[in-house]
Amino acid sequence: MNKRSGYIFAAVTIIPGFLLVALFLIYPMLQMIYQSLFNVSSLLGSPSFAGLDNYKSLLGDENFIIAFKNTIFLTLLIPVAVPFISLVLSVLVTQTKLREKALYRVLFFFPSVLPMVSVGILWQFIYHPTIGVINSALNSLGLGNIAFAWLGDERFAMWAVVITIIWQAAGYLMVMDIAGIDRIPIELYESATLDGAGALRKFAAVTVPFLWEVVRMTIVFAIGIATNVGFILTAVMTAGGPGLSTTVLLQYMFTQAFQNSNFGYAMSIAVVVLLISFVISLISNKLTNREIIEY
Amino acid sequence: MKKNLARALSVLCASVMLLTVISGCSTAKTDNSGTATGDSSTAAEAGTTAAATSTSGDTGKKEFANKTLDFYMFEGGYGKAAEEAIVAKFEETYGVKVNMVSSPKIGEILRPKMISGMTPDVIMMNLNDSSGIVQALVKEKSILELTPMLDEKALDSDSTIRDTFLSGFLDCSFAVPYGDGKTYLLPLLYSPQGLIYNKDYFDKKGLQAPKTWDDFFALGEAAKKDGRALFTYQGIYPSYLEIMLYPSIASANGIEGYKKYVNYEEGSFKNDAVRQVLTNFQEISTKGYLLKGTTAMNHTQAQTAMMQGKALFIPCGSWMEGEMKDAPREDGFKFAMCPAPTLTAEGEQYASVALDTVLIPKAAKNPELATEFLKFLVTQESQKTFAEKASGIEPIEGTLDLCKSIISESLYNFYAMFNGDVLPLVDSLKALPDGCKVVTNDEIWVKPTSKVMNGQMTVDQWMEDVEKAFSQIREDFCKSGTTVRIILTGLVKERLPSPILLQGSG
Repeated sequence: MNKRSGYIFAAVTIIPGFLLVALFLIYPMLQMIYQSLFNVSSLLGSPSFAGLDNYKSLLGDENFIIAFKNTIFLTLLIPVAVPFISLVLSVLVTQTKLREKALYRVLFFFPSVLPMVSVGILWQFIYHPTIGVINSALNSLGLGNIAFAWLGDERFAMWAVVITIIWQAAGYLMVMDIAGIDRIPIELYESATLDGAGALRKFAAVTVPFLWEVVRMTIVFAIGIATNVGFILTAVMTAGGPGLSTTVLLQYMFTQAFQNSNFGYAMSIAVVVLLISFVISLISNKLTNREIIEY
Repeated sequence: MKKNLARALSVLCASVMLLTVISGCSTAKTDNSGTATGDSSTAAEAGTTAAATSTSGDTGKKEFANKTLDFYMFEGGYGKAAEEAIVAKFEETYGVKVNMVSSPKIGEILRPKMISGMTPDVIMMNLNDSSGIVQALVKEKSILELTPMLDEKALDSDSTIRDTFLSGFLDCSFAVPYGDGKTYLLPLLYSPQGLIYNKDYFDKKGLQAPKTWDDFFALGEAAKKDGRALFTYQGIYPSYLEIMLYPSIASANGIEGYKKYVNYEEGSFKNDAVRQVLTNFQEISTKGYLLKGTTAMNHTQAQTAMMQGKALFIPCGSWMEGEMKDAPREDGFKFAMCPAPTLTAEGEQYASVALDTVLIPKAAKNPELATEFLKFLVTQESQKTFAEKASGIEPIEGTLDLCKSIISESLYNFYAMFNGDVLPLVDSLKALPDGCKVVTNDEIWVKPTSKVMNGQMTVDQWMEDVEKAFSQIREDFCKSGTTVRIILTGLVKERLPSPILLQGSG
C-alpha cells in the first residue's frame, strides 16, 4: 500500500523533469538527427530527403576536416588538462599551509562567474599585439622579437585559446574537487603522515584514489567545456581565424546554418559533434574505470 | 482515506502538468487557425481589392480595404526613430494601422514566425544580415516583384520611382537577384565605404588622398618617416577588405569584369588585373606598410588604432563615425573617406556601398498597402526624416543636397565622395544555389588573408583557391536546376541585351 503511493509520488516528481528534458533536450536532438538526413536549405520551402548525402559531403569538405581536427584537438586536450590542473589547484587550496588559501579559492573560482563573452574580450586584450599585457611585458624585458600577434598567427592562436579555456574552466572544476576532498576522512592523511608519506605520496595514494569518482565527473564536464566554451571563446577572440586555424565544428555549423542557410548540412555537423563527445566520453569512461574505493 | 487522498492529489498534479504542456501546444494551434482564418478573409478581400482600393476624391489618397500592415525591421546603426516617425505619418495619412516590430535580432524573431505562416507585409533589412532571412527568401523566390511599382509615379513627383533613383542601385545584383532585369528588393538607404583617413592630419602634413596605388605607397613612405603605418584592417574579420579590394578590382577589370566575378564566372578572379591588385595588396605587408599585429585585431581594436594615429588608412563604412563615437582618438581627428586606389591614373574610381533594403514577401497578407508604404518611404519628406533622425541617406537624386543642412559635416563629406568622378559599386556576390556548401567568405577572405599577409601564401595560390571554390559553386548551380548565367568570355564585348540562360541539367 505504502509502496504504491511511493511509486505515484516518485512518478509525479519525476514526470515534470522528464517532460522538460524530453521537450528541450531529447526532442531537439532527435530532430537534429532527423533533419541531418534532409536538404533543409530554406526557410519555407519543403525540404528534400537527402539520405546520407550530407554526411558524404562532409567527407569531401576540407573546411569541415580542418574544423574536425581542431575540435578533436580540443576535446582530447581539454579533458586531460583542465581536470588535472583543477585537481592540483584544489589540493593546493585545501591541503597546504598557505595563509591565503581562502583568497586563492575565490581567485581561482572567479573566472567561472564572469560571462563567457567578457572572458573572451578580456583575453583578447591580454593578447593584444601592441597594448596587451603579455607583449608589453615582453617588450619591456627586451624580448620584443618574440612579442607575436598571438591571436593573429596560425602557430599560436589555438594555444592562446586553450590557455583561456583553462583559465576560465579550471576554477569551476576545482570547486567540485574541493567538495570531494572535504569528504575524505582526515584520519587517512594522519595515518599516511605517520607512515612517513610526503605530500606527493599523499596526493597519489590518498587524494587521487579517493577522489576518483569526482575526477571522472570533471572529465566528462571538461568534454562539454571543450566543445561549448571552445566555440564561444573562438567566436569572440578569433572568429575562427586566422585562416581556419581556430575554427571548431560548432563554429562551422553556425556558419553553414546562418551564413549559407544550409540547415540540413549544419545538422549533420552537429551530429558529428554529438558523436565526438559521445565517443570521447566512452573512451574516458573506459580508461578511468577503476574499482571505486568506498569509505 | 489517506491513500486515496494522496492518489487523488498526485493524479491532479500529473494532469495539471500534462494539461499545461498540451494547452501550450493548443494555444499555438489556435493562433495558427486564427491566422488561417485571417488568411482566408484576406484572400477574400484581395479578390475585391480592385474595388476596395479606391481613390477617394476629396483627399487624393487611396483607400485600402485591409487597413493593417505588419512591418518588421532590423534595428541596427540607424536606430528606429526615423521609421517610427514615417510610420506615424503613414498611419495618419492613410487611416491605417501599422504593426511595427524592430529589433537588432529581427531575423531570429522573423524566422519562427515565417515558418508558422505569419508572414509580415514589409521587411526592412541590412544586407549584411547574419540571420540569413533575406538570403533564404531570395533562394526560395518568395519575394514580391517590385518592377511594376518602380514604373509608377512617385507619390510626390511626376517622374517614375525608377527615374528618381541614382543610377546603378535598382539594377544591382542585390535588387535584381536573379539577373533577369526584375527588381525584387528596394535599396532604401546606402552608406558609402572606402578608406577612412584623418583629414586633420592630412591637411596639417599637406598630404593628398591617393588616387593610384603608387600614390598610396608614396603616402606609406611619408607615414613611415612620421612613425606611422600606412594601413590597417579589421584583422580577424578580413572580409572588411572587400571595401578596398572590390572597387580596386572593378577599376582594374572594368565593371563588366567585376560583374563576372559576382556571378562566379571562370577566370573572373584569376587574371592579370586581379593579380596586379592582389600583389599590390600583399606588398602593403611585405614592404612594411601594415600596422604591426593587424591580423590579430578585431574591428574595434583596429579602428581605434587607426584613430589614435597608428595607421593612415582603414577600410570601413560611413557607420564608423557613429560606431566609434566613444573611442579615443588623436587630437583634432576628422573623419574623411576616399575611394580605393586604382592601378592607373586614368582608371575609373569606384567605392562600394552598404545597403539597407525593403522587400515585400510573396506571402504578405496586404501587398497593396505594403506597396503604398514602400512608395511612401521614398518621398522627399521621408528622405528628410531618415536624414534627420537616422543620418541615413536614400539613393535618390538630389537627396544629399536636400538634406545637406540636416546631416553632419563629416557625413556629408563621406557621401560627397560620389560627387566627383567616383562611381558606386553596389553589386556583391550573387546568392548561392540551393544545397551549395561553399562558404564564400571563408574561401575568399578568411583562409587566405592572414597567410598572404604573413608571406605564407602566394597571390597565385589565392587566386587558384578562389577559382576552385567558384567552380564548385557553378557545379552546384547546375545541380540545383537553377538557371545559370553564362557569358561567353572574350566573344561578347558589349553588354548582352539579355543574358544567355542555360537551364541546369540536374
